[in-house]
Amino acid sequence: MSASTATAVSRLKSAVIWFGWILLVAAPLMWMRLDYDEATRQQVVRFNSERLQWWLTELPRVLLHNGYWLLALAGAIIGWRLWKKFPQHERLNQWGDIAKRPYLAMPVTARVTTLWIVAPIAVVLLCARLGDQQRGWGMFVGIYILLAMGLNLTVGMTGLLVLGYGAFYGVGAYTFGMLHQWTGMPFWMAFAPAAVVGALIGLLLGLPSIRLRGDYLAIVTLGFGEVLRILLKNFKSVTGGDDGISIKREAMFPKFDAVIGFPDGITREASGFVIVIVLVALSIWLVRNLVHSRIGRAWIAIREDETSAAAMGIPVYRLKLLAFTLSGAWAAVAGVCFAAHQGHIVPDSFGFIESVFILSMVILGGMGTVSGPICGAAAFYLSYELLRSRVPELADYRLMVFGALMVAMMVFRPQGLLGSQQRKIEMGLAE
Amino acid sequence: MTALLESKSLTKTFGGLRAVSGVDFAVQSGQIFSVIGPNGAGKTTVFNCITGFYTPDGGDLLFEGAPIGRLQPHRVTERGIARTFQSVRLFGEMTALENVMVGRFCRTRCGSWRAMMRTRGARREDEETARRAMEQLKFVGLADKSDVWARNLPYGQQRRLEIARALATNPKLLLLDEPGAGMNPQEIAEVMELIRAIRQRGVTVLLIEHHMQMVMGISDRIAVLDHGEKIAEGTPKEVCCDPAVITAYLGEDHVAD
Repeated sequence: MSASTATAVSRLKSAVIWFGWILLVAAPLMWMRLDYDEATRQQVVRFNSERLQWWLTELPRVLLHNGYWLLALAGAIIGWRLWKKFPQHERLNQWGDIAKRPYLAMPVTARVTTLWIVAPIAVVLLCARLGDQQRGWGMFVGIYILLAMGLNLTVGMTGLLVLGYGAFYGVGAYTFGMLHQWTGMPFWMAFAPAAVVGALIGLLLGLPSIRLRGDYLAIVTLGFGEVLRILLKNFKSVTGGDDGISIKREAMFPKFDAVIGFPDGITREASGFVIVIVLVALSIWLVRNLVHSRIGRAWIAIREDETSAAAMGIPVYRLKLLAFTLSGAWAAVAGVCFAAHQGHIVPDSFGFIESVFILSMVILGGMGTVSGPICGAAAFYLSYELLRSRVPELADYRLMVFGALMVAMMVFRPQGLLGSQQRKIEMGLAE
Repeated sequence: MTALLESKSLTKTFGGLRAVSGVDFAVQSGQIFSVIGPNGAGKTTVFNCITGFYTPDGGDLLFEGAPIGRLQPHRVTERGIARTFQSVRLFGEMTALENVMVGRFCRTRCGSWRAMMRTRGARREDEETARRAMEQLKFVGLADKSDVWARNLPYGQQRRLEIARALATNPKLLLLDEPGAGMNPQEIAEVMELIRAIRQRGVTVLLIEHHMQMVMGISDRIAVLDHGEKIAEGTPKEVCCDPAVITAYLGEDHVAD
């Protein structure tokens, strides 16, 4: 038996053991049900055998019935394998050649060129073929990609753990909401002011808290997230409290919808989808540029060794502030999209669980890379939504499933789905 | 002629401990100046004071005649003082080339807007940065390792990379904290060669080192610290015969021998 087979077998073994362990822990939860007992007039926990039966017989059936999702997964895996087969750049060590690369340490390959051709076609096809429900999902995937990319600037690049990122998201949504309420501003005009407000709030939060490191910073940002949510809840005269702010839908896409023709007519989802795709593309371009500039290198240097970075002439405090500010702006832009899409915003949409979701996406995809958060956001949100709509019986267990998923990630691929592999490919060192 | 770096009764205390007390020395431009002393003598503390990681409690530090004692570390580096660390502190998950490019940060000006848009100017500056970083890598003999993660380099090469990174900041004064630590005689000889080459390029070197052969071989001038105080200063010859130095290193009994 070769070494690679041996590792594969041992991995499989540990995966099976791990799965059994999760089942053992989760099994009681899966057939427990909260019931109301008429006789004693109390709530009681019952073990429902029907429920257990469902898990054993119905779930496999439902999963098989939706077999095309499995096919899609297989397709994605095969696609990824093929992708890796593309020719990679030759290792270039002459300084002249290195300087000529468009991004330093970023290979110019057939791969990138292919992406530039394939991506626009895919977008057009998606716009034309997808139904409104899927476009709605696409919109949310886009929003979460923006959020994950923004959070990645602090968590992944600079190494600052931020646990209250949902608050910045809320800042964007409420900035647009209030501007809309007061002036009737359409949503495409709100991007710039919201980004500025998000950046300012990031700056203000960063000024005192960035002196803290690691866990302490995480706690402060966590607190900030909660404070902001509670402030939005209680500052009724401005934010409407728990009732939130409603946004008139007809004011959202003035004239814009007419420009883009859609086969099944123009809908809110359709134009929103297009706008989000444009924003995501813009965001990818900006973040890629940033990461491969002196600023990005300084961020990564700070993440790797702060003391050493300071000794190399990097103003650590200022660059951390910059990361905070920019990531605030990114979240605010996503918040505007969210508010425009939902048509109604309430403080509880931007709570702790939202922050945790965004952080999970970054971790799932791989911290500190450009493509990691994109992949993580799409995988996380889509599987979350599919679980809800395709397997409604599992809807109540979504958080549990994702908890297990995160544990599995930490055990098997702590670097994330695209983590070091991506990095290796960028370096041209893979395989 | 004013000295490049001048320390006037430099003092640093930690609680009740006087780690450095009243140390005077002057490093002339173009010198290789070594600071030696037993463990815990305060050598690294002096380095940390010079580079802004500690704020001295007393005395003056003058670089090209201007005080630097209260500057933040990155400001000190901007003035033209670069350093390496006693234990290698590279950016592990960056390539060798990127590590050196980080050193160019304080000599480049492109701001976040231009970086995000990747304007023509930003691109030019980045290319220039890569070119200069590559020159430094060549200088220390790591040109063929440019795409390797710093973490994956062998120890001796990591040491060299750290020196290349420090040189990328265009220093006038380079502080080397035990560059020969953990090296075999062959590597020590190479490091000595490298330090001489650095001086050839017009960079003044301030060196902390335990390896006596190395210190005596390349230093123009040596200061000896013990318990935070300077007990001797002079040329290698003067220092190694100084009774105070022998006492500090070997104990009272050996002086007569």
